Amino acid sequence: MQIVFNGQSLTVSGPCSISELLSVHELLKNTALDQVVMAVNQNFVHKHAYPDYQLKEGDNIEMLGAVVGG
Amino acid sequence: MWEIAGKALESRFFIGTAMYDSPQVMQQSIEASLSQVVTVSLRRQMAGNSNNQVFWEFLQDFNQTNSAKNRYLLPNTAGCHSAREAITLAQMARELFKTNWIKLEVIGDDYTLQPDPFELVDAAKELVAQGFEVFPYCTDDLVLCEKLLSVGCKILMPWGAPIGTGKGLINPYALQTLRNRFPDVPLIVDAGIGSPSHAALAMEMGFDGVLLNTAVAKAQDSIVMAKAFKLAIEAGRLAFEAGKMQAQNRANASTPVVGMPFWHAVDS
Repeated sequence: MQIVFNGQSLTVSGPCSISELLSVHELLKNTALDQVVMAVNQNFVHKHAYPDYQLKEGDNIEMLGAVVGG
Repeated sequence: MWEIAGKALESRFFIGTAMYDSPQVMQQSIEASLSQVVTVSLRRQMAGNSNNQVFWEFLQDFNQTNSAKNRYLLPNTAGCHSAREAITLAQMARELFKTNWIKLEVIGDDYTLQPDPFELVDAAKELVAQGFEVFPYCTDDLVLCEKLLSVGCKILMPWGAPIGTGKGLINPYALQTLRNRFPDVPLIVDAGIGSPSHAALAMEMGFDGVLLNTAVAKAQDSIVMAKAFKLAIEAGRLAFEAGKMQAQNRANASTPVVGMPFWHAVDS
């Protein structure tokens, strides 16, 4: 199925949780899990929900981290 | 010492972390400022981005020294244009930075970055209900500020001027009105400050603190400028506490006139 991850289209195979998405597609690389937070379709998803949160076709996922700010 | 959001602070200088020439300059500027409240933000995480890693390490160090220095992170919702966006970003910030403090920004105009008052109040109301300590970035509009307080905000952060302009306090009358009408509400002038004299003026008017970023980050020497702002903010606060003289139109000699030699002497 097709999802949108951080503004870019991404093809994932079959049913997929957030945890599976992060591991299968190596979206964290050298980044620790506590350095990111997630939202799906503009709704915040708690970290403890990642293993059970099943993504759907067309979901829009944002993975954010800390940056400088004013 | 003073108190904001239940925390006792010595510094009245809130400082941003953006736009410095390097992470090292940012860190040294923050140290020079002796600020205890530092603003941060969230953006898309690109895997392997070394800048993000450097900043994360700074945050870890910041948190580790927190107990000794009594310093706090203030995440913002910069760039949000709706209450919904801002609420979601605030929730994400709470998990990432492990704080319920949020500098609430909801922009209504991209040229001036002027806050959208309607979306701002909606977002503030919801975030207060969710247990956030909301620091709303707002204009100096009296009625807007009243609405923000009525939905549960305990702090107001009116702008001095649009973000990043460095124009100083463009509407001192409106700011003074806020100070006079809300004597017990912590008021922080946020944005538009360009020079230490602007910050000093805000403090002389009785504001509780100043939040700024660009004026330090874009100075030729950010570290020295951070110190200059620190001193100006302290000076302004002391002047407010001391109570300044009333201005008057007529000159009034400060040196005694009694005993003046040649008083009104006229050439013969």
